Amino acid sequence: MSEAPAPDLSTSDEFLLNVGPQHPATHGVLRVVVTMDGEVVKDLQPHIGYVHRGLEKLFENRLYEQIIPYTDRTDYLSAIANNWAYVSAVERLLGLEIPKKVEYIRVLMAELNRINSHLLWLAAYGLDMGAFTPFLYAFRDREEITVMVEEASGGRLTTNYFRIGGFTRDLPASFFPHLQKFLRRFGRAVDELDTLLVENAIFVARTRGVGVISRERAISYGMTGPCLRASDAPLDVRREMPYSIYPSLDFEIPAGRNGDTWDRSWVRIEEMRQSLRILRQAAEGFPEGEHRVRVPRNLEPPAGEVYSAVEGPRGEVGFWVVSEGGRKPYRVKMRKPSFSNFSALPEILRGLKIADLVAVMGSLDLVVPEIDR
Amino acid sequence: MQVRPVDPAAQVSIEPSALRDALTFLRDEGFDFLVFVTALDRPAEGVIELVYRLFSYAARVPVVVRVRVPRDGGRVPSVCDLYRTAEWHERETAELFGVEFSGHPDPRRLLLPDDLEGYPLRKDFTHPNLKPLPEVSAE
Amino acid sequence: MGLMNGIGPDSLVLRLPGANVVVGSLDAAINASRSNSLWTLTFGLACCAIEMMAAGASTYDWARFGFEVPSASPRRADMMIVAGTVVRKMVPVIRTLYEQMPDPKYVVAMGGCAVAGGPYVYDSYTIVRGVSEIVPVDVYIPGCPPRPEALLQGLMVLQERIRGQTVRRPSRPAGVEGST
Repeated sequence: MSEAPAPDLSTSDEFLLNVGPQHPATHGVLRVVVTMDGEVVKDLQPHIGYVHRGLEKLFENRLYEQIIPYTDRTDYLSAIANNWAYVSAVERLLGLEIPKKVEYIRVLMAELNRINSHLLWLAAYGLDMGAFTPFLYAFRDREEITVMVEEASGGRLTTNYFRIGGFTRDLPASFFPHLQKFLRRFGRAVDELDTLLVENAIFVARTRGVGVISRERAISYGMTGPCLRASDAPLDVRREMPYSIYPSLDFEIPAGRNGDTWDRSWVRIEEMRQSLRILRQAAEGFPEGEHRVRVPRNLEPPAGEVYSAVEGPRGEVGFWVVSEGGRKPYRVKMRKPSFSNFSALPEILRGLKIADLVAVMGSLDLVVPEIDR
Repeated sequence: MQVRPVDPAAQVSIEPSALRDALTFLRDEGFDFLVFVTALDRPAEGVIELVYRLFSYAARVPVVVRVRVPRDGGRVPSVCDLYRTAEWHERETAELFGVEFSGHPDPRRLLLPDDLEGYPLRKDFTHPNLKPLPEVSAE
Repeated sequence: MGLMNGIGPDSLVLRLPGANVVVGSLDAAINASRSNSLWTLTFGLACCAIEMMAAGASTYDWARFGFEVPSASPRRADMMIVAGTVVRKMVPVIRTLYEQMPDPKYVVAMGGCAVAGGPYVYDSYTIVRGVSEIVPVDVYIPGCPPRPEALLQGLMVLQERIRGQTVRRPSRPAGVEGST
């Protein structure tokens, strides 16, 4: 089957509805062609590639250090996680021992990034569902975190902060006072956003029981992150393939019970609370030490291949880096969570109504350049 | 090429005809998560090496399955019915490397525009935009 | 504040007892209303879309300048902010959207990718080197991504441009035949 089968208009109410690539609720340039029967979705054909920049080919023509800024721009909302996955892959190829302080800074930045990403998810999701107020509240909170990240890295969105071996500069003196102020205030902000959107009666009516996927099907589709955890699967890269200092930190992995859209939303709110816990612990236990390991100016990892994954806000972000010696990689494969999460959409949506399309797609928290690379 | 043991995953090389049996066995043993399917172009050896990375959530262990096919007319059976995520990974690998996954329910292009010819991730792919990085002298 | 921006050098405020009367040219009045009420076609393609959303949200808030209504449909949009990477597959879509917008329409290229191809310009096999290869662009805003303040400044530049137009000829960017 190369095209969606043409509907038989003589006997049914079937028609094809094109959603995208320019659409306010597609979170980027997604295109979905829906076969509708009246208001019910019979089938769904996703079309992607509208922002395919050919990054994997580009990486074969770049020095290892030059690839880092490109990793930000695949999933710009979790730029830190992308940086981390790539940089840790190269560090493992080089066999570097990373100082404790570097790991602590990485965890602080990654958890701040997770909160930032979930705030934007909440803002955009509310907007899709017709709620404008959470958008404004979430962006106000995002600004606070963005200022902290900008102080440390110089970038608001595409931070380009991590380097192979650590960081160019240590955290600035203003970072920790800002962080403490944020930690004191943000717990109440999460509760506020929770009441505004996720506990809102209309939201619950639109999302509870809608778009269910079972644990087995979710794993078969390669779903990771909150989308998987909502289906009663408390699986998180930080526990399954532990990295950095996460084994020594105390936090829970929230998991939903039903695998519906509401559970996917609830999991993200809970993750923000857990990220606050991690931030408090990392700030308290922050060590002295070096903020980098010296690496040679001409970086030439020995031949080998490695896959390194971290838990990004959307799921498992992994980089498979193949080196044959030399200053440029032989192959870089980016394993992105939204690619697999999105592939499950036809199965989730079959039989639901068209209004549920927006609710379900928003709950998957897709970032399209990550799907297309 | 030697694979250095920086990655804890066991590496298994198999024949294309054994792919479905191997993956069925692994899936039944608890490797329920297909992390990715991709390929490596090895023009010097005249093969394209397909790479399947699997992970078992129960045992927290990864494994990598490697299959070599000829660069011209390389074919492997599709594993979409074993792992639903393979559907898109195989489509992407097919269009970027020129490998056929026989039995795939929907072998259309996924990412590339319709008018692009050739297989971009092959080492001998040509395109007017492609050019080597400029040399920068060390200061 | 917005109305005062639109009152150009060829208008004056007559102060009569009990009232103020604004006297000006028709162009000034029309340009004032156009530039202070630009409806944007929401067209975020990639990372720049987030900074565009930030410019529309709290703290930066472009509603102060009149860009209150983001229009999802091109049929009632005044301008298109192309925010993000343009690749070959997207070209017919952008062209169609541009042609669906009614005159007078403006295009703002936001971010390195829309201006000239961005970090992918060198050797990506799908990149379009700037959206100006597809549609005529009025304002270029460099940055990767540009800060929300940079976007606001770019939009104010667009407002300046609109205030310099005249209703006798339809809007065209400079350099195209028939432009103002």
